[in-house]
Amino acid sequence: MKAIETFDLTREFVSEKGYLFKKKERLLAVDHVDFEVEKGELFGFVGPNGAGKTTTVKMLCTLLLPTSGTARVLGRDIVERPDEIRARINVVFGGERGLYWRLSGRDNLLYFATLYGIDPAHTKDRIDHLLAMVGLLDRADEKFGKYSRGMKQRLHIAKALLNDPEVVFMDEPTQGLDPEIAHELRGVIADLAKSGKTVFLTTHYMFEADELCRRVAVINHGRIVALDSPANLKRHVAGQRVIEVEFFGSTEKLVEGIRQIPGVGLVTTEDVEQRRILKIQTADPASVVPKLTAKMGDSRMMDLRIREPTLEDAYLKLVGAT
Amino acid sequence: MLRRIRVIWIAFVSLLKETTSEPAWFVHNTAAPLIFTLVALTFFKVSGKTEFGLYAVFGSGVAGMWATALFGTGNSIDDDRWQGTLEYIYVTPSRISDIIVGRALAYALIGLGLMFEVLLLAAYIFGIPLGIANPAGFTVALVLTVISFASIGLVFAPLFVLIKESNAYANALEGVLFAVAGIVYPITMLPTWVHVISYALSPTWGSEAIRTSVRLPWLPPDYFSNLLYVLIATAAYMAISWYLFKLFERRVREKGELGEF
Repeated sequence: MKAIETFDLTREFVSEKGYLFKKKERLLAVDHVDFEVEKGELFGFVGPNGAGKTTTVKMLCTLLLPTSGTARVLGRDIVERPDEIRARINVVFGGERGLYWRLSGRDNLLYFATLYGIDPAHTKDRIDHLLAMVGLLDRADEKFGKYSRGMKQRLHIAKALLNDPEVVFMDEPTQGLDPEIAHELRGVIADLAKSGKTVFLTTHYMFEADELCRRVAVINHGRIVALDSPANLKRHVAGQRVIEVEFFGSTEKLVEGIRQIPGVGLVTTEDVEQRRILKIQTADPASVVPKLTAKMGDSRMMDLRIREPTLEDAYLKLVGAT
Repeated sequence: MLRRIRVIWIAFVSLLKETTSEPAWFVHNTAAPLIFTLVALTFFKVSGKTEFGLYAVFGSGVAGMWATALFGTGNSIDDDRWQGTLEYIYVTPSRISDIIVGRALAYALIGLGLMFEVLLLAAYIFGIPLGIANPAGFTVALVLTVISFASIGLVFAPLFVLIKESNAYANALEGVLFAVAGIVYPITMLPTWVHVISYALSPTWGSEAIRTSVRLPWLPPDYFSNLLYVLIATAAYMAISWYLFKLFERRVREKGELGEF
């Protein structure tokens, strides 16, 4: 039995706009998706914002019904047998919300432990164990609202483990966290997989998927565009190198110009504070670099380096980012 | 069954902890009944009718209970939306209706507290003698009435789960129900066609039973028949609530708006 199986899983949202003359708008958030996750696997589900990641998670954890198709979690149909699934899974959505701000960390866990039907004789020990695991035992009696962002996310993880779930869904758990806390959290996620739990992790940080996941599915516009191990996904950019240019200046015309250079593949830009970083995929950096520097014009170049492609570069190629 | 009772209990306790942890809550819940009482007693003083005092004092108390118990549960669901907890509680194996019942009972208890606050205000600040002729009858009627208020709240709770804008409708409805239930004035003062609605609402009967126990040391048959109506109406509200929760369960998953606010 697989931990998760989906069969043509599809979800469409219909919204109405206007007052007197209402107009229906349809959005196909998840479009005939098929994949399987093995028990004990740490499975990555990556894609840009709005690609369908969260909608897929919400269907799998029985929050949302599919429009067509279905899925099984631990062999149970998500449409027909949600109650049996809920007892054996748990979920962490990213962000600070999701627990009661006016209750203490311990009271939040006590509340959810009861909702998950944890035996009262073991509840206190279980809560103490989990609080110690996420490093919050000495802050357990403070209100959740007073916690820092990292502490809140750690309490979310503790909540997600209350019922000792077989499958844990994590929807962008490290989003917006400080690098140090995010790193710490990735350690906790890796430990979960080592302890035999199936972890379904959505993220848009490719290095995170690369570091943690055995297999990664890339979703874009509701469809899975690739599903493989990180190593195999990187083969989509095999033989390529990435030129990274850090500069100050405008990008629009510059990117257009660079795209005209023979041998240039995908070109992406990223803003880091006031600097901009150009990432250029090419099989022939030696011939591209001189032409590239000539095209820089008024833009002030701070740094230029050539590196091996990462999973992020493969992902950008797969989702066709510009 | 034991597990469901535990869920009701933890929802009850957690709501009390949450509510009482806010300093603003104390201000809101002491100031509002004071204003209700002040307005009602001003009417009483200018009316020159002795019996109106009963309506004024107990009406103010019941009004406080009404506002708290009736839509407290609905507001708590709204609060869940804001805190992002509604999705998390929905994906647990527990029924959301059990959580709501626990909260409704907590609000019923808070509502009772408000009633006693109004009684103390009337007696010690406004100097109105409030001899309760039959304290046992008064207590039974009061407890059943406040539970009945909470059960009306349960009828609306599934709508709060399903519709994210339902708080706006509920606020309007609160006033309408309050006006027709004979809480601060006898329903005989209302147009005849409104009586049908008044008689369908348990507070109409509950308020009458409370006033009877205050006036008479020996409880007449009317008192018991009023309480019977309260019990029947409460059972009906609970049955409607249970049915609506069942009916909306699939609809909630179809709409998928639990996380939105």
